[in-house]
Amino acid sequence: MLNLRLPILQLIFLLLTVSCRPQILDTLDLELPSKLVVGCNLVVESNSLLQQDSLYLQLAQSAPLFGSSEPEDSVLTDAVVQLFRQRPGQGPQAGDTLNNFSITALGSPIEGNNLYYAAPTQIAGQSFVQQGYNYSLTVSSKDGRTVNASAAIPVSEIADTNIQILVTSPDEWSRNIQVKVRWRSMNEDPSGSEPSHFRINYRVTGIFQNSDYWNNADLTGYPNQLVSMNASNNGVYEWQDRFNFYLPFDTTGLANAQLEVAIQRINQPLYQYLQAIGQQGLSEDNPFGEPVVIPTNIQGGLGCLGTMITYRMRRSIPW
Amino acid sequence: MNYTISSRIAHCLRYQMMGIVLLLFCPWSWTELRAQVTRHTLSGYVRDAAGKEALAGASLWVSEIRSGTSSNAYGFYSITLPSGSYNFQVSYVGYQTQTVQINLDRNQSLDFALAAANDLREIEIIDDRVRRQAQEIQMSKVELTPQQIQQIPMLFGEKDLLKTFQLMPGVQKGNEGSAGLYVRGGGPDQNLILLDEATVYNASHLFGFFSVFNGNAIKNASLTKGGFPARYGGRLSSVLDIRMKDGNMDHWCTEGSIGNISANLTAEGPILKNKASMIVSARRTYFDLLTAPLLLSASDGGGIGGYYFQDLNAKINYQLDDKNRLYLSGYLGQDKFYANTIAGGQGERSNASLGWGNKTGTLRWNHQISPMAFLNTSLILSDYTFAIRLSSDFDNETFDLRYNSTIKDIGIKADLDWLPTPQHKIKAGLQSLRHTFIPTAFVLKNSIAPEFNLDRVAREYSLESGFFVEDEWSVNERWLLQPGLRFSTFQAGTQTYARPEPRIAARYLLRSNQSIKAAYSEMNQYLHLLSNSGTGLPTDLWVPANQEIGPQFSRQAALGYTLDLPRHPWTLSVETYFKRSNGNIAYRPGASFLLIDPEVLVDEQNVLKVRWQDQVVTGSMESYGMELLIQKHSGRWNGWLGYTLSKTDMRFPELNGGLPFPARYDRRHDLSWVNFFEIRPHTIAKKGIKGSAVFVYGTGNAVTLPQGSFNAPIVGIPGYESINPWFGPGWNSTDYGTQNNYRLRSYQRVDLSIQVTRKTRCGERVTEYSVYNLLSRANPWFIQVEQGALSGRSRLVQYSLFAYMIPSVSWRFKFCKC
Repeated sequence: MLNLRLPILQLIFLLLTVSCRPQILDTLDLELPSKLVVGCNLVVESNSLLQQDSLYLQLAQSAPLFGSSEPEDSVLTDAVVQLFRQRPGQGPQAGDTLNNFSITALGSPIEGNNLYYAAPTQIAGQSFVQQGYNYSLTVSSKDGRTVNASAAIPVSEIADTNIQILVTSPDEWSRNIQVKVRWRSMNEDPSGSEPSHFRINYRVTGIFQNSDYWNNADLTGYPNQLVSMNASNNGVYEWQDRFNFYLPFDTTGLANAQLEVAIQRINQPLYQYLQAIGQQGLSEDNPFGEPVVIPTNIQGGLGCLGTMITYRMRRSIPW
Repeated sequence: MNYTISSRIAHCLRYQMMGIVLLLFCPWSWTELRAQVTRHTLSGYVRDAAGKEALAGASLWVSEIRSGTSSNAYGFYSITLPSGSYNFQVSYVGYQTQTVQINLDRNQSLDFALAAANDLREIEIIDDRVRRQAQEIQMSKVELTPQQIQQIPMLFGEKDLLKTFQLMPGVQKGNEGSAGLYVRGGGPDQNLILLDEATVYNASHLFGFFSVFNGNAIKNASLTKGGFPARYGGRLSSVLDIRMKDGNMDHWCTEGSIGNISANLTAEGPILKNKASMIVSARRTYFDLLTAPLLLSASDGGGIGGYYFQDLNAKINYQLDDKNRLYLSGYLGQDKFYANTIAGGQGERSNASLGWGNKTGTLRWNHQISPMAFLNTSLILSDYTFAIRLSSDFDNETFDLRYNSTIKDIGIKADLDWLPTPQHKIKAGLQSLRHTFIPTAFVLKNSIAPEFNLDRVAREYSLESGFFVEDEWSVNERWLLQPGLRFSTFQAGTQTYARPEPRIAARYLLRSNQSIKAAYSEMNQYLHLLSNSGTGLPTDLWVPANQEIGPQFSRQAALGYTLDLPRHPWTLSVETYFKRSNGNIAYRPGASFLLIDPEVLVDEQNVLKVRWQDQVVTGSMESYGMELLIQKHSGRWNGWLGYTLSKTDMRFPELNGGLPFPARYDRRHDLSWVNFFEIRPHTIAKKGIKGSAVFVYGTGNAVTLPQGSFNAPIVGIPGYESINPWFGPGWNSTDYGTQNNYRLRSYQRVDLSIQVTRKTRCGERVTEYSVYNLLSRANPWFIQVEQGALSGRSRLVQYSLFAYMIPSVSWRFKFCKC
């Protein structure tokens, strides 16, 4: 439907602002600090044949909007990172602490907004990231800032998974592929105090080398790749999408192609975090859109400590 | 006459309209049976002596019993007393008090005609009238007269009813220049605005800078902020009850004015003297008319455009007989932007217009059932429409696009006033309103590609009903109670809501001029206003509560103290309130009202369409505060000082991490100091000079200020083949911190005006010189983060709308046939 309100209201807004008197405000007393930005994801792979459990951590700093000083990136290179785990009802065990991380700059330096990733120097893998543990993260920068976060990986299982793939041929160069995914979550919390959240991604694999991109990686895309318990029917979830696949010039490899679907059970802070990033992306060009606050479970900082249990399935595509 | 029990029951059952009321309240009057006293009723109407306008809320005080009554909204009063001789004092603000000695030995009908007090010094100050405010049970209520509105200096000299109410404690101002009302923590959508009982959905012209109410057509206006009587419902925060003038029954009068931006003209007079009268009042801006020739000249006769707003109020009233009167009133208002071009010699043209407006209509029948009972029945119509039209005709190819958004009401209301004894004033009534919502009506006709022509209208219907009963019960000399119950229902589609709304108010007289008042009320609101501006943009959308987004509900408790100084025209009022509401709606983060379309979620092509229910989140609000009002009612210097100390917090589970945050219009301090001076009274020989000065101060509004920017790490898809196996490129995000974390600068303003009045034999002329924002204070309108041109660094820029003093001159006249 033609939406006429936006250009008309933009014109009205412009007319009114033209007649306004601007005045620059003194912002020196605002004291906006630079905050540590931490992105950490703990991933459990249910099908270890395809991937391995992993832990990955990214560090950065926010750039205050006002103020005279720029954040010093050097405070991140010597940051102290500690990750603890504990089973509910149990005391600390040997091997429950990771505190040796190497921190490396990521990509080209950008003034005031550099990225660093931190990886444990000891092998983590399956021995550290597991279902049924609570995790606590602490990051301390050289200039004395400390942030904390905690998250849990629940014991979770899905069953009755069903993937339907329907292929139609609108023309000779492309195929329209509809994907329907259905699954049952076996560990729903009936009280609703720990609701389930999922993320669904899919891709076509086996055709292009090094180009197996995920079709719906964009958080602003439709349908939303994030699914919450509210959308389920007594623990049964359904999700679908369709996309156009452009055939390669050489179609002999199509027979090897498979559709890989990754159903990821994510924790609520990560669900809300990714949802907000998607909303911010959708509304960034609209001056009348409501501001989107990116939520965080990093106390004293920004970013997210997320947990993820990944269930992967591969199916042949009925070309 | 003695009453027996059986005759009382027969009396109860006689009238169907009073059935429920009488069954509920009949036992209360059984106490009178024990006294077996002969009683008679004095009833009638209180009117303005000059024009016979009914005076609502006029006080009738009987000194012998130290009690009295007041006239209802139509000027009707009734008081039943034992046989005897009584001294009646009838008074009304702005009028001279009348004192009449009456020997009440039978039921009598007596109308009072009060003469206006043109000079406030003429108002006789007597103990009883000054004590009136302390003795009334209604708290949290403000009343204004047209005279007060006319004296206050305003932006561009345009007298504005809503902006005058903003000078009262408990009523916050919105943005700079806005006519929105924010009452005790509530938003502008939570105010029920009634014009002769019809709902006005958008009371703003020019995006909220002016209200739609033409002061020349208004008889009185009252704003109730709390302690709501049971007769009111449908909104949470306030009831603004505006009554139009009925029309001069005695002689014709014409008045008008012309100011910086608009002109208005009013004519009222008898159609049949003392039987029927009418009033017509029109107002229009004229800036576009002045610039039209210039635009035509500049475009070589090819184009014209501009903006205007206009209002038309009209009313006829007809007295059928002593007991029956009919009123027919209506209002038409419109705002319009337009641009028309004519090109070529074949009449090729294009037209574009953007407009919005209200229409209301009320047909009322007043019927005096008996000396003790009065019935008002009304048929009510209301319509608010926002419309866009684009059309063109070039080379015989036509294009016509129309887009409308509308809300329409049609309803019926019946109110009964029953005053069986001086101790009981009983009101009961029914109301039913059918709402028609047309959020989008889209019509496209074009000759170029007729296959794309569209005619699509989305309609929703709902029925909102209620009945109420209340009693103002004078328990004894000190205690006055007003219990009430309203029961409201709302039906939309398959969803029905039915909710009781208890109300209770009490007044305890400490002394004859001091009282403590308390009130508790529960309110429901079944309509939501979708707006992310809060200033009355025409695109604001009214939608009904439904299965997904339920109604709003509030509870409010208030406690107050009132002191009328004896022998001096001063009143002191202190009130505290606490209000909590839930079901409030706010836009979801990232949502925009521009994307609202009440269609299904996806269309046939699987394209996402957005419903309004998906764009909002629900939460709660908590507001509490203290209001102080000191008034001087008369004298050469008079006015009021109003101060509010308040706090309003919102809590939405999906906003601000579920933590409470201050409302955008949360103002800790709000001060208004209004002064009127009579420098020289006017007479036939000499010009009168009056002055007024207004000072306002308010804490700045709360806004969400970005704290910084950061690269939000996006968790990648497991197996993503890149240097960063878990992270895709980060998303450049803004750190907003907490919601509404920054306070704009305080709002301060001083306005002055001088009115020079020249009285003539049959009228008067008034020239007013005023200055808005005398101190040229740059009050904040909004703030914006901008990049410095030289430094490239971010800086915070405040924009002010009226940052300089704005002088204005207006001229008013009034002429009556004499």
